[in-house]
This record gives sequence, C-alpha cells and structure tokens, in this order.
Amino acid sequence: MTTTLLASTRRIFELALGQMLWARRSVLLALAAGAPVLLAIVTRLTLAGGTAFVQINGRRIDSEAVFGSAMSLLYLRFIVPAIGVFYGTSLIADEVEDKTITYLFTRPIPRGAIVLGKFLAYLVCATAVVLPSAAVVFMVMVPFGNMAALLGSFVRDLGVLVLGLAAYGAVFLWAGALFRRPLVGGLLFVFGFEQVAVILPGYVGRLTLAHYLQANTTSVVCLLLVTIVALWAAMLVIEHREYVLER
Amino acid sequence: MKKRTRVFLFAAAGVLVVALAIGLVAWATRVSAAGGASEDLAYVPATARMVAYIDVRGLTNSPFHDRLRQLQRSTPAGQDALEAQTGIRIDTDVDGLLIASTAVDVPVERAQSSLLIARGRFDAVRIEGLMRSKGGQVDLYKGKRLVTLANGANDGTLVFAEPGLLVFGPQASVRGSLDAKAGTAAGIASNREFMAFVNDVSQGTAWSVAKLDTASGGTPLPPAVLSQLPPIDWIAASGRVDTGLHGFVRAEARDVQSAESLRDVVQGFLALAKLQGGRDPAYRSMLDSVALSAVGKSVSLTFDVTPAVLDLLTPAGPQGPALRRP
Repeated sequence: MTTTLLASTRRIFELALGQMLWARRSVLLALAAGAPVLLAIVTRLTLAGGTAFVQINGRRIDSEAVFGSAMSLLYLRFIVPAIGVFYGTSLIADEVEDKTITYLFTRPIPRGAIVLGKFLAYLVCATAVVLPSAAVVFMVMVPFGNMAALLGSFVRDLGVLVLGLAAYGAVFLWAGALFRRPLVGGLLFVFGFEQVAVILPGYVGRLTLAHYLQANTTSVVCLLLVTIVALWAAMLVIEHREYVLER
Repeated sequence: MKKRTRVFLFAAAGVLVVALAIGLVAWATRVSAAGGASEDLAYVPATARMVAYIDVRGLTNSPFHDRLRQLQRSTPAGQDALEAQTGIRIDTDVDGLLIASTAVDVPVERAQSSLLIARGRFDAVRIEGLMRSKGGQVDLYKGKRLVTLANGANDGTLVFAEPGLLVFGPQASVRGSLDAKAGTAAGIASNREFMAFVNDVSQGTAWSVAKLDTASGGTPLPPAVLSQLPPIDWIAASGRVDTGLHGFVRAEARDVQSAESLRDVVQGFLALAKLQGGRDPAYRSMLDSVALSAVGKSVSLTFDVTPAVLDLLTPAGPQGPALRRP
C-alpha cells in the first residue's frame, strides 16, 4: 500500500508539476516573484544615489532594513498567503470545476496520492519561484559588507517562506477538497480575518497562520502540524467524498 | 518531467545557490557591517568600553569638511606637533582612525586606557627612529616590534601591526590588542551586544559606541552630567557627512521608564534650545531638523546640519565672526 501510494504520488507529482508551471495561472507567480525584485532594484538605486532615504520613527533606515521589511511585509504577509490561496484552492477544486477529476479517480491509484502529488507539485512550483525571488532581493538590497551579519536571518527567512507556503497550501487544498468554490472564502480569511486578527490584542492572533510565520521552534512546529493535519484531512475528504459533476 | 520544467527548476536552484554562496563568502571573509572599521575592530579587545571610528578619508574629502575648514581658518591644535614628532599628517596620511577605551588588568588596579588604531600611509622607519632617539625601547611580541617610550606617567607603545596599520597606547593595551587579533584573547567581535550597536551606527563617516558602567565609573560622560540623567546602559552615535552632516544618537536606557524619562529630559533641553536659539535662522533650521523618538528602552535623536545652515554659520567675509552665537 505504502509503495503504491509513493509511486502514485510521484506519478501525479510529475504530471501536475509540468501543468502547474506552464499554466496561465503562473502569470500570478511570475508577478509575485518579479514585483519585489523590481521594487528592490528601484529602492537600492534610490538609496545608493543618496537622493532619498527612508525614515521610521526618526531613524534613517538603510537598504538591509528595507530588505527585512520586504521579507516580513511583502513576502510573509502578502505573497505567501496569496499564492497559498490561489494555488491551494485550485489544486482539487479546478479538477472538479473542469470535470477532469473523473479521469484521476478512474486510474488505479489511491485517491490520497492525488492530494499528495498535487500538493508536492504546488510546493516545488511555488518555492522554485518565491525563494529565488527572495534571494535576488537579498543580493540587490544588502551590500556585500553586511551580508555576513544577515546571512543567518536570511536562511531562516527562506525556511519560514517554505513552511508558510506549505501550511497555506495545505489548508487551502483541504478547503478546495471540501468546498466547490473556496477562493472567495480563502481570500476573505487571508486578507480579511488574518489581517485584522494579528493586530487585535489577546489570543485571536493565534488562530491565524500569519501569527506563526516566524523563525522560532513553536512557530515551526505549529506550521508543520497544520500542514500535516490539513493534508491528512484533505486526503480523508477526497477518499470518502463523492463529487457530483454538473453537466 | 519535461525538459523545460527541469531547466526551470535547475535555474531556480542556481539563483538560490548563488545567493547563498555569496552570503557564505561574505560570512567566511568576516566582512561585517562595520564598514571601513571592520578589519581594525579585530584589534580591539573584548574589554573595550568605548569604541569610536572616524573615516578620515571620507571626512576630509567631503564638502562638509571644506566648509568646516572655512569656519575654522586654522590648523587644528596639536596637528603640527604630531607631524613634527611622528611624521604623521592626519588629513593626508591617515585613512581611518579607531579609538578604543579599554579596561586593562594591571597589578595594582584595573585601569582604563585608550588604544589608537590608525590605518594609512606611515613612514615606519622615521617614526620608530624618532621614538628610539627619545629613549624608546624595542621589544618583540608575537613577532611584532613594540617601541615603548616610558615617560613617567605617560608610557606609550607603538606597533606597526601590519603594513599601513599602526596601534598606539599603553603597553598592556597594545599587547592585549595583538592578543585579540591573534585570537589568544577575546576580541570585541565576540561581544554580540556591543557589535549590535556597532552595526547600528557603523554606516556613518564617524561613529561611536560606549557601554556606560556607572558602577565602576567607567563612562565617557562627566559624572555631573550622568547624575542628572536616568540610568543609561549604552550610547551610540553616528554622523554621516556629505554636503552636510546627518547625525544620529541612540541611548539605551536601563528600562522603559528610564527611557521615557530620558526622552522627557532631552525634550526639555530641545525646548530650551529652541527658546534661546529660535531667533537665529541657522540654529532654528538645525533645531527644526531634530527628531526625537523613544521605542522600548531605546531613545533616538536625529538631526541634520544642511549646507544652508552651514552657509548661515559661515562668516560673510574675512572680518565676519567665526561663528554666530544665539
């Protein structure tokens, strides 16, 4: 059973990766990856020219501080959740919408392999775009002389990006398996509830994934748990659910 | 997997590997955020209480320096004497100057002493010859020639630690400096708290970081001033010069309450300064640029001395006053 699941997962992964990478939806990925790079180049040129500077609370902010802000505000608060919602919800929901899920279900493979294979394809596809983008922003924004001091936090940020993509992807993959049109709900959760909850006092923030996008042990464990539980739940849903395809 | 998919994945991995490799090279070569002072900081022992750095080359080449020279109209006191004694002209021979105030373990008491680390172009033979002609003794320590000039209370030791790098100070401090560089004693880079402050200010043309140890009296501030201020643990300052001067001062108070008190004290001083100097356009413009903020235990102050302010401070003619007082 395990061998069958792994072999089937690999087959689905290879099939889904090619489709995902060269699909129209990838324009979103390209934009998500390209915009911060463009922004970084413009900011660096502006700061290097000395024609402008960024000031927060009366303190002049240099390019590496701008890099830190880009990582936390642009990547972790916007790009990771956005990619997670758009891709995660589409992994199963699009197959149902396009009525192509029947072709997958008729294959002699465990249904759970479809979830795992598609999730891994999403994760590879998203990390292959987001991580190099963050790396380019790091190279552009941080002067060589300051890289040594920031290398550790940069590597930790990359790890958090991967875990964040995995957690958001898994949660919305589950949502996609449960609901017919999960995108609107997902967007409301990510850009509505999460944005408000993280700034609310008390414990409400802990009910969001954004709260755990940090490089500490508790957050890493939480993100891994959420990913595993959401994937397992999605596999359970797809194993037992009968999808009624509209004519 | 299709070929184009494989190519894309390899390209993505390549970009990531290149970024990490560059970061690793930077880390391996230990190029820190301390700018031009990074290599010289290796000579500062972990016992340092205060470190200050001046990018002399950057300062002397700046338009701001030219304006200051117009204001000053004379050679800084002591520069001619230093040149006569050692052959060193600070404005032309020295590129960077790092001063560290270190605690030195001497048999009788634990004393504070200053260490001067200068990078530039020095006539080593002339300087050593001059010191020897005045009774300087030469010792070898870790393969370096230490020239010590014992002159009663003022004992001074000089060593050319590497080509173009001069270390000067009391013998114990200079030996401690060479130990720190050799790795046989802890260097200031091992003090992460200190280095965090250094990284915060080291982009300036001149900067300074000081640990205020009020218990042992080891502070760069006069006790009379310190007694009027809330408890402060650290002070960091930096100044970036181009056509003007952009200053930044940060004080780390012992706790949040002390930080708020400190901010109130500084605010009071600023209000007083505005009251006294507000009529003078030069001072008013400078005071208007002051931004004060307090975040947690940290109180920060920034200010700008713009070219316009310098124009107002510069005397109108040869007979004009050197500096207008409010």
